[in-house]
Amino acid sequence: MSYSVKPSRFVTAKTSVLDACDRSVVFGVGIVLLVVGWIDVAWSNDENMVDFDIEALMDIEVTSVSKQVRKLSDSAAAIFVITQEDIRRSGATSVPDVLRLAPGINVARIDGNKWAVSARGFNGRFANKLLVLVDGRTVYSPAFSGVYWEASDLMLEDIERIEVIRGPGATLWGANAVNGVINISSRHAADTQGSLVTAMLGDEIQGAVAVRAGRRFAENSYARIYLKTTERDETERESGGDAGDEGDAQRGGFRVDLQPSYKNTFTFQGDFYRGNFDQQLLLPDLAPPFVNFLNDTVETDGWNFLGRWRHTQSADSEFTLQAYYDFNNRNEGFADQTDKTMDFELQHLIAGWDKHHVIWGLGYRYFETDFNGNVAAVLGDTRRDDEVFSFFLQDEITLVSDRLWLALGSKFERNDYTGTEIQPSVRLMWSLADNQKLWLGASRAVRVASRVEHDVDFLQTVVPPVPPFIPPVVVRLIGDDGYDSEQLIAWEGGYRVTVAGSLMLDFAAFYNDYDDLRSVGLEPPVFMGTHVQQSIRFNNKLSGDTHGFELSAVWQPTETWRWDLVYGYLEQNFDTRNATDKLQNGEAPRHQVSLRSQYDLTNNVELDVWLRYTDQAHAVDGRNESVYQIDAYLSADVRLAWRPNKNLELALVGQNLLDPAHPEYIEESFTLPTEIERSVSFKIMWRPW
Amino acid sequence: MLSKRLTFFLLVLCGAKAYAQPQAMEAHRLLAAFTLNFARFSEWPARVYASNHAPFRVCVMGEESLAHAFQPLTKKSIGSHPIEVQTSVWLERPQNCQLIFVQRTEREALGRLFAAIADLPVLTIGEMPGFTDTGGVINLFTEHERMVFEVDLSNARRANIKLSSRLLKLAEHVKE
Repeated sequence: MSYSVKPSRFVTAKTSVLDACDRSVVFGVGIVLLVVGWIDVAWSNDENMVDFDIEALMDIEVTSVSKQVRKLSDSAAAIFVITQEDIRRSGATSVPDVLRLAPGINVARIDGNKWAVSARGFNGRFANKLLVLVDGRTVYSPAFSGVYWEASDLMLEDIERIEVIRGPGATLWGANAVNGVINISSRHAADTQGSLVTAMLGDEIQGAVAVRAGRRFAENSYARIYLKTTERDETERESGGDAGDEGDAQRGGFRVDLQPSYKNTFTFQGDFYRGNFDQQLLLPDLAPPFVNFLNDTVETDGWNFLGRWRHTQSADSEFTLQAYYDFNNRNEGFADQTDKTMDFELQHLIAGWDKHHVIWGLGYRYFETDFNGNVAAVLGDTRRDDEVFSFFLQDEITLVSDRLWLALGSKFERNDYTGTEIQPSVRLMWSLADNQKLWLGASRAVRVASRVEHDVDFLQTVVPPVPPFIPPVVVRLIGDDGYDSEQLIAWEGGYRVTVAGSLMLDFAAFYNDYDDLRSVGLEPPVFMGTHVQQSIRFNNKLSGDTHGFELSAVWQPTETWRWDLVYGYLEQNFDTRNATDKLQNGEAPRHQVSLRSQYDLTNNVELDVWLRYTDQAHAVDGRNESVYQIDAYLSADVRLAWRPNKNLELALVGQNLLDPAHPEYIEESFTLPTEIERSVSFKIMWRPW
Repeated sequence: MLSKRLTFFLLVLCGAKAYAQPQAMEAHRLLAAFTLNFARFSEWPARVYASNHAPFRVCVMGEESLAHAFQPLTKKSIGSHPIEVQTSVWLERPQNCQLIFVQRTEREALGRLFAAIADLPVLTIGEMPGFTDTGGVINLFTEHERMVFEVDLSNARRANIKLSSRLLKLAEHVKE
């Protein structure tokens, strides 16, 4: 075996440089080289590192995988992946708080137990253009088009990854994946063997305990169960008083993964939950004083069960069959609601044809909603059953081997509210070099009408009388069974690059063109003897567009230090010629910045700092038929963690440290504004066996 | 005084980084180092190489940082065959690899991978529970903060790959 003589050539080169250059320049260059060299050593591809023999290797202690520059995604979409490591180091205590890591996502906490989460604008408690899936099960409620985040208080340690996709995902995921898709995947049961106990205590999280146990019970058969309970403190009012919105939630579940042979894998999983969440409501009333203050408690519970079978026919053909049942029940001061969903899905991947990679699928969903209440009632029968049939086909075509791909596809869906919906997309991916990718996309997506927009009768406000001439005016918001889908045509593009393995940039820009957005129309007032009834009816007369871009950058100067920068810019315009957008859309923050430093002080001590800036926003305030201004805010989280041994981690987390309290959002209706307080918590993670 | 201490500290730091025999090593690098050893202590049927100097293809299915950790292998060779590291396994067709390393994150692709390589002479190395049960030859895992491995001989035989007795002796667990 012969070795090259590279070292001596390097020495020669150095000498000649010395001869030619001024000493101080050399000194300066030397410093730079030293720094670069140090970074390089930290990142070295040191040949010797792999050259130990196996006995020596078996004697070396394994240190955890260094924070890593993310893989350049191969998808022609604005995708951001949050890993388990990101979640752990964020110090976040809820799924919405974790989503603050992602670009283009606006996460705003409404009160002690509610969140508003949206992608690329249109935020609200009932943000309806973001589809959210947990292990392939949708948690987007078809009754009111939105997500009750407090009912998905997942065990964060069991999340494998969260894919955050901004922009339409309707071709694969179907209706309501308009502005984005959040895809939460839990860990494979084989990866959660043994036990885990976490306990948290603080002034916001007043106590949270989670226990998980997992084991292998036969060859290639793994299972885990978990239980979790969380108690959250109330937030405060602007005035400083308590907001009366504390809550507690319990949750439990299991996951079983079986793989009798490599050709077949089975997953079975299920969860149940219950929660009591306090809230203070201002509910309109026909009698004086025309508004009632109510100390209310949301009582919610539910369960779900999912089964999935993946069958590999050959290297080029794989089927996935999935079925689930999901039950959710929720009772609160203004309405009671029960949703039942049954869903079946078949997917087939065909990779056999030379330049084509095809995925097609069939879906059937049955859902039943039962909705009733005094303030929010329904027109007609309280119960409604709906069906959705769907088919999708996508072909990914290699145009130039290793360089250029084209993905064409569409979803075809038939639902009982708006009939047939076609949601196509075309995407192009160009690999400029191994470390650079460019993509473009155009797609259409729809947000299907919800139960609320179709047949709910909301008592919105009662305007007190002005004696002696003006009687009380009762304002009702009513659904319309002709209410149509909201439509989006989205134009997107992006560029990704990694530089020297330690810097990664991901840029995505978009222009979203919306039509048939929700608006409201005034019906003629009707005199009812004791009061005047003013009805406001949902219609689709608003159009608008948004544009903006998101940038995420990861820089890892050394193995022990990583920086993450995320910036999102958003501009939204509504065409109000035919309708008012009042009551429908607030104004999203124009700028959002998140800067995170993750630093390993030593092998077992971590110091993480997270700064976030959220620009001024306006939220819809349904009670006053106005918008409510939320000032820009800067917040900081700090986490200090110590691992005395590999089975124990102690962490101290401070959140929202920069001010005593600030508002992040208000709900569209019924509740009062609250402020999110500074908080500190202590967390233990322990693996007893 | 302070600057002296700082200089000393920096020197120690740099020195330690550059020269010391590591007591500890980051997991991905260890995986790469183990993989090189496994390749050296295994024997492939001669027909897998087109010529005496044909490359030995190591294919990595996993994250970028893992692929990065495998890069030093490209300076090495297995016998007379220089190592080539490939990361886009599906584009290159897995059948063309002599060795495939599968990261835990790619578990979902196992079905199609094993269907593609079936009985071909490909040494499959993984780092996830159940890897050998599904058809993999060697699986790496951590025990008492040291990396150890298990071997499935029947899967090795099916792939027509001979593992040296030294390797089998060191394995935590050998399944016949």
